[in-house]
Formats: sequence, structure tokens, C-alpha cells
Amino acid sequence: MRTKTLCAITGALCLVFAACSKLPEMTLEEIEQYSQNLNNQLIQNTRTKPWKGESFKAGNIGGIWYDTILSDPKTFNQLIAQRDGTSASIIGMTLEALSDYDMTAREWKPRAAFYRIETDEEKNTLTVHFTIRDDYYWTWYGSDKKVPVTSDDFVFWYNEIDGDPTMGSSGYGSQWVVLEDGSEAHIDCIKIDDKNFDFIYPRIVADPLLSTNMELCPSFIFKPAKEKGGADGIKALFSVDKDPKEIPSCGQWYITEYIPAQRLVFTRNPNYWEKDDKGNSIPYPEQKIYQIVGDSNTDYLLFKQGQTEVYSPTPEQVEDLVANQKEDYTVFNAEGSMGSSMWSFNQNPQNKDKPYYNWFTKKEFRQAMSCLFNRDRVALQTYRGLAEAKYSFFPEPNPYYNPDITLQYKYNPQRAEELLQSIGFVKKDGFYYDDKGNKVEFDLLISSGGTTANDMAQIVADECGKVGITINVRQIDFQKLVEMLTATYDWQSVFIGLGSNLFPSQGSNVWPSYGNLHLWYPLQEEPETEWEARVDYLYNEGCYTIDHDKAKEIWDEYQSIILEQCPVIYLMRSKTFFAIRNKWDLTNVYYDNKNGALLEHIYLKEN
Amino acid sequence: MKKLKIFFLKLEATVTAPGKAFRAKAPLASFITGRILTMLVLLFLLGFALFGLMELAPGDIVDQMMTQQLLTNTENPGAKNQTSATGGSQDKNFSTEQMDALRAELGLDKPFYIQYFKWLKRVIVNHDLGTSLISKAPVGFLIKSRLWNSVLLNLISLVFITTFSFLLGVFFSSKAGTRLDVGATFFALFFHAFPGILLLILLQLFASITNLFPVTAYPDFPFKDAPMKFTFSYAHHVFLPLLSAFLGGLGGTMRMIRATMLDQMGMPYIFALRSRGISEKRVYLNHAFRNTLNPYITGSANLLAGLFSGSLVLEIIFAYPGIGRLMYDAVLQEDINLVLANSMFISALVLVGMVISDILLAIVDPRIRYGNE
Repeated sequence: MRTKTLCAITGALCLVFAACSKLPEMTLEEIEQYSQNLNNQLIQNTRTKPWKGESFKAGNIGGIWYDTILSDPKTFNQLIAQRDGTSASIIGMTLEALSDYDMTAREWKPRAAFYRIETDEEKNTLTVHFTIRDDYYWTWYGSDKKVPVTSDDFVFWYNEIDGDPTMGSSGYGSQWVVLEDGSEAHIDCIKIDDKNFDFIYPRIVADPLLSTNMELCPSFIFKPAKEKGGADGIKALFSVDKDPKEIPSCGQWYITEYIPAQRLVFTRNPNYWEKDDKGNSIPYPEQKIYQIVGDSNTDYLLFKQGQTEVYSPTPEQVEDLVANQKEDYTVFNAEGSMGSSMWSFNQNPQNKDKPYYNWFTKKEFRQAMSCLFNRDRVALQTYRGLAEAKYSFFPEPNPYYNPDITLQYKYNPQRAEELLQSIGFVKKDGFYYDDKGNKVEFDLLISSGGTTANDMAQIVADECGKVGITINVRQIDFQKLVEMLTATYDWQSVFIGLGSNLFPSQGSNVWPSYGNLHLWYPLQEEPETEWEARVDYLYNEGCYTIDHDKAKEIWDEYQSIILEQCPVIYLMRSKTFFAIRNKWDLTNVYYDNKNGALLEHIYLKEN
Repeated sequence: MKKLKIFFLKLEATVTAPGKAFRAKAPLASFITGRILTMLVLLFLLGFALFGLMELAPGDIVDQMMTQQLLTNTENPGAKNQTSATGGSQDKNFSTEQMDALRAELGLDKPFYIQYFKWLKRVIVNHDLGTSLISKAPVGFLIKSRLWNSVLLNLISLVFITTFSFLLGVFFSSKAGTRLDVGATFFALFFHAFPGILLLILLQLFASITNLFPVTAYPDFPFKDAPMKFTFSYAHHVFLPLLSAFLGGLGGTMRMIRATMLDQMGMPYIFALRSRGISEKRVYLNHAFRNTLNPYITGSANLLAGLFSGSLVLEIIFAYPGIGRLMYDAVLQEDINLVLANSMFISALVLVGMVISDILLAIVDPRIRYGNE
């Protein structure tokens, strides 16, 4: 007994002494250097392969593609899918768009139809003529039945679904343009014949293809349903309890099986219009099987077990994924993402009696906050060095991206303090107070569960704390957050992502002051400030200016104002990574920040 | 005043007389009827409370559309579900007017109690659970497609927990006070107290590292493709999640049976049986063991309820296609039709379990006389 006790004590002491051993301490510079070396090593172990317009090599048909989705499709009905992103992307695999924007070449390319734009300068009108491809059909899985794609498939959807207010389609609002006198006029869609149809704009617009680009619908199914049952008849089509094999396809895939909460199976459409040099339709895998998993960690573990073909890691998973790639899979890297989260401050006059309203409505305060956002520290600590600050307003693929127009309020605590003091803030006992004696302290809301956002918010709070501004980071349910932003307006400051503006006119509900997602003060009847009035004016002018040089002037000023006024402060652009199994031939695989992963031409390696 | 009192007493006697007669004539049937009526009232109140709670939650299903727009906008390249390559389209946003119109169309602009009574009318009068507000798919289909999986998983758990609890409980009660008993009690308590969610995650990591088991709990091919292969694959997939449910549920039940057995073994009737020279095996299995059934039957309905609610986490982590995940998604999306149908279904199932356990109790224990008290 005594021996056992002695052994136990000795063991415990050994553990204590081992734990007390001191590791050599590193300076901050050494840590930074060490981290940089690790990142360089990480990038070296991944492949950089952006798409620069290369043509694709013809592949071999065969193989099954295994992947996952994180939630069930809610519907296979195009109209209802407008309310659910997952469903929309699933149905999109059976459909085709009119045209597609090539982000590398910065030009529109025809898909389902060829286009020709005609402008009438005298009448100030614009017409887009579309001609549908020859030999283009709707087909069904396991059937020889073919129905030609006709103009009705677009015209019916545009006029009778999107254009009918009783349908409640999200496309309704984009069918109107603002005329010079401020009134609104409708963009008409007219069928010329079975293969030709026109969109007629009552005013010349800068990006006509943007507002008319749409996916086609099988009008021979939707039209009778509307005639028989109206909006309800349309909404009753293609619900998830119906056999998905009944859904016709003109896209790359047929939906051939759906078992709720288990799996979704797509089968290759051999009649798809896009063919390779050998005359075979793409895609090459015979089937795509998506397992429905409810948890992103399970998704990662499935990839690690070799049960799925691709995986997009989070920043925390990159190191582990790269370290374990061996011969089994390859990890690609891409430059910083196009979009970025942003930090915004509530300027809604509903909160006029609150001290923070007076702070947030002063541009110097917002600029000071931008100067207190330590982007290098965030990149190092949150993204492990695999991110860069976003200083521009438009992303690179935007036709009006100007590398010379960037944010001037970069990390500089001294300048932040000067800006604060210039608007009457004073520092007492290490804390800032406004001219009415209120201590500068406010909330920063972040969506619960976002570890990256939380890390960034804590760094912001720490940096602001160093100069004497207290920020309380509060995690909140995303639904509640949206309600606060769009209905109750009782928030203070927030981190949120709103995507990127690939076209200057995108974000129509965010950037103009009348937008319902104009974060800092939505749905303004009249612009609250002069600079917002100017932004509204420039936005409208830019949308209707087709001369590139003139438009460039407008959009340059537009970007400059937003970057100067800092109503939102863009945060970070993280590098993205993408892993894919080596059983697939990677010749046709490209990965970059503009196009994401290009996998349409992927095929199995020849044995 | 006195006359009025007499009148009311007579009235009460007249009203309650048939019930009393029924209770006297058929106590068990009267007991079952009473339990079923109570169950129906409970279900009604539960539905009312659920509607009220959903009303209190921030936003509604229409607000989800705004959330969806935000989420769609925040997706980045390479993200899941970015399968369509349509490079550009104009902002397609729902206007405030469209949202109000949709809210009216779905009846969400009415007070919650009116929505509830409308729902009840549809279910009771039209025998229709309605359609999901978000997908327009029939709620019956959505539940049916997952219910069997949940029932199967929970029944397997229940059978395993029950069988092993009885075996081990009876065995360790005969070894009370020994090192083996102390060790078993320690492990039973340890797993009973161990957080279930952590155990599930650890087991999933174990599966991932060792590659001995799949990290999901359901085969990736349907039963109809290869029934025999599916059965073995199902057993392989479900082993770890079941082990977790088993370890978590075993401790409590086993300890209860062990304690009841020990309690029974100290009773005078056991002493009397032993003094008559009846074998220990008969004393344990024919007499003491029978008396341990009462607390187990009472507790089994709660165990079933616990398994159903516990399986939600299991279903999410191990991607098991059960009703819990459907319920979870429905609550997050505030799809009230789906939430209500789901919850009522699970609640009804648990309440039916409780009624059955009460009935079984009345059958196995003749001392319990319902209806005469």
C-alpha cells in the first residue's frame, strides 16, 4: 500500500515539474516572423491556379461525385425557391441563365441565348434582342421526350410570374427603371417569335444585361398551372413530396432522387448544349450525390474520411487540412475574397436622444474608429496571417474598380485621437468623454456563433480600450440581429457582411438612402445628409450612363465619398482555400477569388 | 340558500353519476378514458403555449426572407451550394409591401390565438396538418419521411438500455458492497453525469481519427438499393451514437433497479421466503425482481421522452435523418405549421407512452386500484 502511494506521489510530482518547465519566450517580432514563415510554408504547400481564360481539355465521362449540403432543399419550385438560397442553387443545376458575366475578361458571355444591344439615342431607349440557341431542349431523365426551349420560357416568367404582383416574386422590383423626371417606367419583354424576344428599356441604362439576366422556366408546365389555379397553382408545382424525375431539365443535371434529410442525387444531362472538343456534353461525372448533413464539422470530418470530393475550410481548419493532404487530395489557394464584412454605426434619428447618435453621425468619429481598427493584428491573430485589409470600395472584377481610390483612414491610433479631439471629445482619467460629459461607451453586435467575427470584435474592443473608448461586444442571434437592423433600429454598432458589388449598380437596397438595407439609416424619405444626397444622385446617374469615361468619373466620386464618410468600415479579405481529391484530373480545375472553384469540366483520372 | 345548495348537490350527483357508475363497473377502462382525456387537454394547452412562444420569438417566417437575402449576399466563392454559375443578376429583393402581403397571405398578421384555433380547425375538422409555410410541402410528408428513423433509433436505445439495466442492476444488487459493485457504480454515475453532447463529439472524433466507424449515423445509400447491405451498414453507422445514448441512459436506470432490488431484498417478505428455504435464484428472480418493475414502468415514459429530446443533438452532430433535425430547422425558420405538427406529434407520442406505462402499472400491480379512490 505504502509503495503504491509513493508511486502515485512521485508520478504526480513528475507531472507538476514537467508542467513548470519554461519554454523559451519569444518577442512579438519573433512571433510575427515565425507566423509569417509558417504562412509562407502553408502557401507553398498549396496550389495557386487562377483562371485566366484558358480553354478546357476534353475529358472522359464517368464517375460519381460525392458532396454534402448543409440543409434540405425546401422546394424544387423556382418561385418559392426565391425565399431559400439552398433550394435556388439546387434548382439552378437543372436550368440555364440567359447570359453570364465573365469576371476574368470582364464581359458578358451568352449561355441560353445570344444577345444584341441596340440603343436609340434620340428616343433615349434601349433594346436587348435575345436569340435562343438552336437545338436547345427541355428533356426528362430516362425519357426520350424533348420539348424545344422557346421564347415563351423567358417571356412568360418575366411577364406572368415576376411581373405579376400576386405572385410575390422578388424579381418584380427589378422590372422598373427610374426616368429622368423621377417617375418609374416598366421594362417590357416582348416575344418576337419562338426563338427571338426583346427587352425594351424606356431609358438607356448602363448594365441592361444585369437587370434582364434570368433563368428560364418550363412555360409548358407553369402556364397551364397558372391558368388553372392562379398563383396557388404555380406555388403548388414541384414541391419536395413530388417525384423529382418529373422536373424537366435544360441545364447540366437532372434531379433524380431526393430522400428527405438523407441525400439528393443528380444525374448528368447528356443533352446539355455545352459540349467539349470530342462532342460530349459537360459535365463528365455520371452522378452527383449530395449527402445532407446538418453540421459543418461533420462535413469536414466526412471529407477527412475520404467520403466527399471537395471541401472549403474555415481559417481554423486550413493548417490541419494542408498538413494532412499527402497524396490523397490537393489544396488550392486564392487571393483575398471579393466581399468583406463591415463595421457600421447606427445613425437612425429614432435614437436622437441617445448619446451615441451624436457620436455616430459625426464623420470624424467614424473615421477615428477606422483608424482604431488594427488590421494587421486582426490578420495575424484572427486569420493567422492569411488575410489582408480591404481598403477599396469596389472589388477588382468591378468594371469601375480604381486602385487609386482607397480608404485613407488606416490604422493609426494617434490620428484617431486627433480626430476625436477635433470634434470636442476630451480624455479624462484615460477615458474619452463627449462635449456633454458622456463617457464614450457603446455596443458592438456580432452574430452568435461566428468565431472569426468574435475574435475581430475582441481585438477592436481591445484597441479602442487602449485609447479610452469602451466597446462592449455582444453576441446576438442572427434573426434578432436582422430584426434590429431592419425593423426596430435599436442597435448601436454592428459587424455584418453584405456581399460585394461586382457591378456598381448592385446593392440598390443598401447604398441609396431609400434602400431597406441602407444599414445606418434605412428607408429615408429624403436624404438625411448632403453626402447621402450626393451618393443617391451619383448612383442614379451611374446606372444610366453608358459612356465608360463619363461613368468612371461618376463611380470614382461615388466610391470616394463612401470611403471618406465611413458609414461602413470594411474589415478583412481572407484568403480562401479549397481542397479536392486527387482521384479527379485537375487539369480543368481552377480556383480564384473571382470565380471560386471552376469544376464544371472536371473528369476522373485515367487509370 | 339551503335550497340552492341542495339543488347544486343534486345537479352534481346527476352529472357525475354516470361517471361514477362507469368507474365502479370498469375501473381500468375508466382510468384509461381519464388519462386520454387528460392527454387531450394537455396537448391543447401545449399547442397554445407553443403558438404563444413562437409569437414571442423575434421575427417571423417572412422576416426569414430578409435574413435569407442577407445570407445569400454574404456567401463567398467556394462556399457550399454555390453550384450555379450565373455570374451576374440585378438585385432581386423583396419590398416591404411584398413582405406585408405575404404575411397577410399566411395569416401571420392575425393574433396568435386566432392562428392557433384556425390550425386546430384544419387538423380536427379537415384532418389536414397543412403545408410548410416556407416550402409549401405537406407537413404530413415531411414528418412521415423522418418519423420512422427517429422511432427506430429511440426504440433500439430503449430496448438496449432496458435489457442491460435489468441484467446489470439485478447482478450488481447481488454483489452490493463488493469492489466490482463500487467500480460499476462509479462508471454508471460517471456516464450518467457526463455531458451527452460532449460524449457524442468525442465519439465522432474517435470515428474520424481511427476510421473504424463512419462519422455519420446513417448509410449514404437507400434501403431499397441493397436491403441486406443497408441493414449491416445501418448497424455500423448507428453504433457510436447508440453507444452514447446507451451509456448516458444506462447509469440512471441501472442504479434505480439496483437500488429497488436492494430495497426489496431487505423487506420482511424476502426474509420469510428465505426462512422457508426457497432458493436465492427464485427469491431474486420470481419475487424481488417483479417488484422492481413498478418504478421502471413509471420511469420508462420519461426515459422515452428524454431519448426523443436527446436525439436532437445526436441527429445534428451525426447527420441522422430524424424528426429532431426537422424540428430544429422548423424552429429556426419559424415555420409554425411544421413546428406545431412536429411538437404535437412528439408530445402525443410521449403522452401515449405515459398512458401506456400507467396502464401497464395498473395491470402488473394489483395493489394499485384506480377508480375506487
